[in-house]
Amino acid sequence: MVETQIAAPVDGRDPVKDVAVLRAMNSVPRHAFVPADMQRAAYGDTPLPIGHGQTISQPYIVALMTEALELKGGEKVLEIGTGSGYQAAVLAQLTPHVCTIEIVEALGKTAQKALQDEGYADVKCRVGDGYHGWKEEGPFDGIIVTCAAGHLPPPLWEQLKPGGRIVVPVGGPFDVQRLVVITKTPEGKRRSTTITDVRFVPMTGEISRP
Amino acid sequence: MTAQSVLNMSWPARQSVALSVALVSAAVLGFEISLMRMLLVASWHHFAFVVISIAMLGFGVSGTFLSVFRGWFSRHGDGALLALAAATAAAMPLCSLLAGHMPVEARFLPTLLWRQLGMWLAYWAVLTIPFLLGASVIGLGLMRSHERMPAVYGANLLGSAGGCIAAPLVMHIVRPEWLPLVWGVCAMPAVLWAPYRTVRARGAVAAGCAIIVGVWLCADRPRIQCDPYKYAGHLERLARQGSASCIATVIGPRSVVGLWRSEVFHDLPFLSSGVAPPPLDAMVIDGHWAGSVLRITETPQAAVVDRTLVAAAYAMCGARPRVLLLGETGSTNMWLALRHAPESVDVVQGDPGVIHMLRRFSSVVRGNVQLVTAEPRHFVEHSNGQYDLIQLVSLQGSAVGSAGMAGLGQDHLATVEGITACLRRLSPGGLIVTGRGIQTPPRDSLKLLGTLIEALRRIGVNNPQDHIAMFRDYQWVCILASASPWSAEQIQSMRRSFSERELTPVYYPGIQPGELNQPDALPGPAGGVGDWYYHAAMELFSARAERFIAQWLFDIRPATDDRPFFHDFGKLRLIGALRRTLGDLWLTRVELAFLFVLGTIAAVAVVGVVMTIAPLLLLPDLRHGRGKTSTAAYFAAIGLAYMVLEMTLLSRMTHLIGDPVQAASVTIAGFLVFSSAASLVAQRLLKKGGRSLGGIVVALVCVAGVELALLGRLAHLAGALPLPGRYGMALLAIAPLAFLMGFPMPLALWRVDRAQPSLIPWAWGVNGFASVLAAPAATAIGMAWGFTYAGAAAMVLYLLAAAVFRRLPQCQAP
Repeated sequence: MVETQIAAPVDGRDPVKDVAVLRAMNSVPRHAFVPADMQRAAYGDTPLPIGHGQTISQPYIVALMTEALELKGGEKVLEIGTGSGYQAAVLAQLTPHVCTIEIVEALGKTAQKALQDEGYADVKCRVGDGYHGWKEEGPFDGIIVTCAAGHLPPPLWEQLKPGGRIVVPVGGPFDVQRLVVITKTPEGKRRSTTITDVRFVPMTGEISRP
Repeated sequence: MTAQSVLNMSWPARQSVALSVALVSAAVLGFEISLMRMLLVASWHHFAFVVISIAMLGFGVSGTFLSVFRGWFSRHGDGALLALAAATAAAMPLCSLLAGHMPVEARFLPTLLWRQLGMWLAYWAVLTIPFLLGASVIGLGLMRSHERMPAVYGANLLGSAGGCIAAPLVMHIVRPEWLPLVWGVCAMPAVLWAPYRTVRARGAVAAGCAIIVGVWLCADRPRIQCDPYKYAGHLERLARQGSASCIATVIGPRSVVGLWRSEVFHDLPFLSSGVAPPPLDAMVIDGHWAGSVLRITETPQAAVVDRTLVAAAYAMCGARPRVLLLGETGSTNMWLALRHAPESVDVVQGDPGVIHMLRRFSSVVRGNVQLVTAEPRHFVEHSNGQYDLIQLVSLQGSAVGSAGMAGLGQDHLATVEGITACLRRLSPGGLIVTGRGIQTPPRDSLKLLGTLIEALRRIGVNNPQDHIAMFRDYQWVCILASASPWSAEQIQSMRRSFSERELTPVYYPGIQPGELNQPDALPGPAGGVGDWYYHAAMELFSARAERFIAQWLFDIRPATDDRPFFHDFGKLRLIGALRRTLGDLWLTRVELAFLFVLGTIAAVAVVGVVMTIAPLLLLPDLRHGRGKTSTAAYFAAIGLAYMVLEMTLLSRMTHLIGDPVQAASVTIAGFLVFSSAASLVAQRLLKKGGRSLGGIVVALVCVAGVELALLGRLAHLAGALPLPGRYGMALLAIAPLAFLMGFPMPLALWRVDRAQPSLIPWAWGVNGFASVLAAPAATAIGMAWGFTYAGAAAMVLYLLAAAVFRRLPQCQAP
């Protein structure tokens, strides 16, 4: 999956290049984070349903988000929206300090169990409202936000270290269309860039190949 | 039963068929409208759109069903009519319950695609059953009425009109999940009126039917199962774990409005940064998040709204602005207006349920804040007020269009004509503000920008670039437009405001390259300056605009009253581009609306052809009979033409009447009533020997042509009348056309029945399938080229039908 779908320049999208991220993606058994009837499809590069109106993200997007955090190892990372727990497991391969919050109780408990079963017991899980972040564990070097409130939750901004990065997937009702990386400058100012999973050249309808 | 035996029947016996048909027709139409309402709550709106096709599919399949079993139905007609009426009454609640248990979802994941499509197919098949049964009652009634066929057809139309008028009224008092039961109960008297043996026998059948439904309902209480990926699904999960609760609900034909309370709600779109919002409730319309109602009582507590992007617009207004909020569904924009000490705030919302909630739960409604229940477009066109700031709240939203979720919805405010009306309501120096979520590649905001540019040109502005400004953060983009060019002071205010709020300017007159694309960077053209938004704005302001729009990956042509589909951005070439880019995931990005319409047309065409050919293969006498081709061509042409013309007029009437639900009710009922009157006149004409269609069709085409040309103007002139006056004008406009459209069907039925009665159920089926096709076809033409083209196509079809009429089978002269 990793070599052919994430690290390769499939169609018009940018391959994920960070070796540590690719290694992490290779190490985490995705099938352990999906329902039993979905395990056969676990290594396809597509999102899969995990119940409760949620999906486990497409592996390429998980890798892209992780790469966008630019982790070197040892950073403290917060994930808002645990979902299946897969993203937290990938993060845990890169840093021992991962915290994750899920608002849907049933999902949070299932994810926590899956993380423990797969040896990611160090990941701190909490069921609650991620909007307020996790003040006791902060500040964080990186935050991944998968919930949408129409704005960046101010508590998360406060819990982000200067120089830290927040990765926000933004999209339509059913899909991630772009990843926004918001950086807190040393002066506390906001700077953002957008990473798209594909490079559209909308004028011609063609896709540029990087 | 022969024609003579029908004439020999007693009056009550003859009327009982017509009454049964009328009652079942009323119930079927009421059920159809109710099913749309239920699906709007449970799923996404384009699935509700399919209900029309599903209903008509039932009519088409009933023709095949009656054709194939014609012999049996001829022998057991009375009993069959009774059984079918009873089955229709029972099927409405029971099939709805059964369908409610099917796990259908609007999110199509590649891994589950075939499973999901199969489930949707089964879901629609179950929901087609009541329509199939109901249509069979009507078809059988027609088959058995012979000489009285036009009158029975008239009863069918009249009954349908009754159902159409009653449905919205019922929705005021009955929750959506119970509506199928109501219509099942309405169909029950048809069982008692059926021309079958004794009253006691009929009563026994009705009682048996009622017991079955009652027992089932006791075991399985009706409820709406929301799509788990919908916002309502999320709320249900929160409610189950005790994190959220619904504190009030208002039901109505237009929507189901719920107000939900939770400490985990924080939705405040367009908030750029800084402060967390105070506790708030969520306004939920038909299962979608619609707005936030802040739980505060005083204006200082609303300081957070000053940090929204929209607040920047107030920096360009003078002191004590007169504010107009069009389509507000929460309280945040009202609080924002109050923060600027306005002279007045007029809040216009077409949904009475939303108005009710705001009055009851928002303390922002005070002194100079006036709530008006009216359609925004209607209000701006027919009010006299002048405003310093008009906010198009109903247009504000995140990336709704990315999955095509609202693509089939018609919005008469977001058209060039609608925006022009808004510009005319601005005071000197006043401005319009609205915004959309950022998308990659952009589409909504570019369409909005193009619409604003076109509207400015319509009010005589030669340089629209001097009247427009755009700015954004990383998630939202706001557009400002003014009927007057920006003053130097206003431009200075913009610069200051953008800087203070850390916003990224996209465009304003005099913008410098160094200001572009920061602090929030977005992708842009390779080697170009700025992001795609800036690039697109420059193109749209230039003489190259038309070429640019044609070349853009998405459909960003400005919407017009004739093509009022603002939220549709689909182009056929988009599919190829997405498939090349995203592989199996292309379906997650495609604009589903237009694809949905095309898919429906394709599916219906295949099913229609198969179900039309099947009786020919199965029944030798039908296969070898004469006049099949002309019969099929004729009934297909009038089926297509009737529905396409009706949908075309419906779009126009929505503009005239204002409220879309009332417009639909009046238009459809008007069509049915006047067409049924034509059926009764046709009956008399036939008795007097009048059998010509040519003159009627010529008159029909002339009237349709005149109405299509003038209805827009009429809507503008008559729109100022009070609601009953607008109803009257709408009915006056519909009457001549619908009356003339009521002749082709009964005249041809009568003619074919006399020459070759075996063709009647088959013709009924062909007409049904053509009607199925017509609903998505009219929408597709409306989306691609405009409803004028749809109307013109209908006129051509009527002319073709008139040409074919002479070739229909007819009795040989003795």
